[in-house]
Amino acid sequence: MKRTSYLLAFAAVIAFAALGCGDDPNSLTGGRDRVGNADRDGENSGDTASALQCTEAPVGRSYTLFDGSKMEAKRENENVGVNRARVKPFAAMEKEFQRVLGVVPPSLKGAAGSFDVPAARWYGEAEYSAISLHAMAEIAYEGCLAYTKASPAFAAPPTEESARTECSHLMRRAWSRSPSPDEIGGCADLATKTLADEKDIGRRWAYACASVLSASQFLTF
Amino acid sequence: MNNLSRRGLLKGALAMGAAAAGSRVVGPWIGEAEAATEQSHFVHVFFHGGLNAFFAGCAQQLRGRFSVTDTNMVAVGNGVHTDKETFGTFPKFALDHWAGIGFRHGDANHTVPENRNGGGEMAVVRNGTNCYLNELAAAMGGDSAFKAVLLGRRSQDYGVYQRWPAVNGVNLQRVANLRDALNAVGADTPDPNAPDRARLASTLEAAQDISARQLTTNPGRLSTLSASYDAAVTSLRKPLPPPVSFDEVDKAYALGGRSAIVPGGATSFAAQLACAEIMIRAAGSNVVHVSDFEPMWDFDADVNGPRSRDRFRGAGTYARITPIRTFLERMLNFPGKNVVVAISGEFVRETTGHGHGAGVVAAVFGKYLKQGLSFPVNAQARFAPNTPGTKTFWAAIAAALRVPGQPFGANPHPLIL
Repeated sequence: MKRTSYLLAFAAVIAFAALGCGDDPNSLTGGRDRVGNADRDGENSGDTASALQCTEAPVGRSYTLFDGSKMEAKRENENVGVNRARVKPFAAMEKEFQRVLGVVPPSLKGAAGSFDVPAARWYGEAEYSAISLHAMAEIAYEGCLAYTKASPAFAAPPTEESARTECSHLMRRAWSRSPSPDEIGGCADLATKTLADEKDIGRRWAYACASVLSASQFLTF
Repeated sequence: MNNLSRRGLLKGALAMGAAAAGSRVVGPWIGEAEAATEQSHFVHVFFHGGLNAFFAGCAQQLRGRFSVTDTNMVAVGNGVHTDKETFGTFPKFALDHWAGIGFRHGDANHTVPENRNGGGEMAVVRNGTNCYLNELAAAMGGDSAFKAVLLGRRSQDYGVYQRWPAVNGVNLQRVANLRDALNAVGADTPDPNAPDRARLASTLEAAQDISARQLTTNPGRLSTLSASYDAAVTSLRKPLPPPVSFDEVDKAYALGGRSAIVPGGATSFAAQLACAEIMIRAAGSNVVHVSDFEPMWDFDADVNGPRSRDRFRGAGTYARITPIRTFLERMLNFPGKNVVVAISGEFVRETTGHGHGAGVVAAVFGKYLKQGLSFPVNAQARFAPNTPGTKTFWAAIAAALRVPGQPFGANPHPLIL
């Protein structure tokens, strides 16, 4: 009996999910290739995303706002995976650095004034300007310096192979997804070519690490 | 990997995205200004909720209203009259180059979250889908990494704090902390533990390159972040500017060591003026917008009463005159620079009803401004029917800044030298 209830509940969830954006499950056109290919995954695939649009207005509740207008009247019809990224709020960054690097950069504490933290009881969508991005890059570099100095993996100068390996590991952990070859290349090139004249090995690795943590994939969710 | 081509592709894609998102196609009048020997800068001090016209030069017209009397009013010259204790204490150079410029924008409501696309603030800063501030900054040209700057943050992003489309690549860049601004432009004494500027530029360039795919698929959401990579890299690659230290501005503006611009914070208004000085001297910014929104400068409950005057006479958290005076003393006649300062607000205060006027008289100061009034208000703080609209205010500012090509049309205010 209990098992039957579980199965019914599971079936209901599946059926609900299949409804998509309208009552008609066929209102979603096109397909979505998710077979282990980062380049074709969701937001990253322009052609797939453009094909995935709602073809009819979803049937839902109507909500009247204070000014008499309908909330649903301004509902956006964006493509799947497009314009969904949001900047992580400053309050999340301490745990994010701890999660990725195992350390929290000391200068992160007390840096709230640099990142437009909303006043108490107010919500504000986080956003970066050039100046706050610069501040976050410096904080990331500080954390990365502690991270690279603490690990023997960064004792030797980066080679093409070691840079790709470490960049890939860090990206996977920081972004919670597999990086593409181009993304890995961007980080590895920085470590092995662009900053090849940096004599301090730890600092050179730290710059490469900071490039990963200053990328939008880490700064947004 | 070919970095240049990837960056180029990204920029192209973002530009197309911005166009698709409805950003205005700029006309031929917006472009790089001709290089001038004297660099111009504009600082807009904006009082959300309104600025009483008697401060801006119309005290004679409003005598007997708002507690303005012959005793507390001062004749500045050429028809400009103001409050003796407050605006009347500005430095002589400012008093001698004070133009009271009136314009009628036609919206007597406040710009608030429930009216985010209307109201007096939007009527002053919005030009169609664009913002006058970054339009002006783009028209001024130059090579600053931070051409248009917006200071602080409001509890919600409405009015000037909403996201505006870039104009010829010029975005409004927010500054929340003076120390960060100094670090970003490299004006203060370098920290030996900080990353090398050129290498950090390469790091951010790589980060932008790595982010290319996500930035492209989020042309609306991440347009500001994308522009921020560009500006941060450009700033880091620039030669170090003339030194400006935090200690210097801390002392000059009595900041008490506080560098963050926090709404309602004890020294936040002073910090905004100090930051305006930093952005002009160190970053060469074209346009700096100082918005004073906490407390709100609205006195509906005291129509025709003394609160406008009392508020500006306030000290502590409410101190506004001292920081403005300090800025004017230090920057208005800065060698080699043409600094124009406009003090304005959502609207003038009328003497009846809610007291909301449908226009503004701005007090504008600058070395090429002639003392006098253009389209002042009358005894009820109302404008003459022929008073021109918002665009003419920006046309006057552009003329005072010596921007070539009349980016906002002809200037009808005859107060430019």
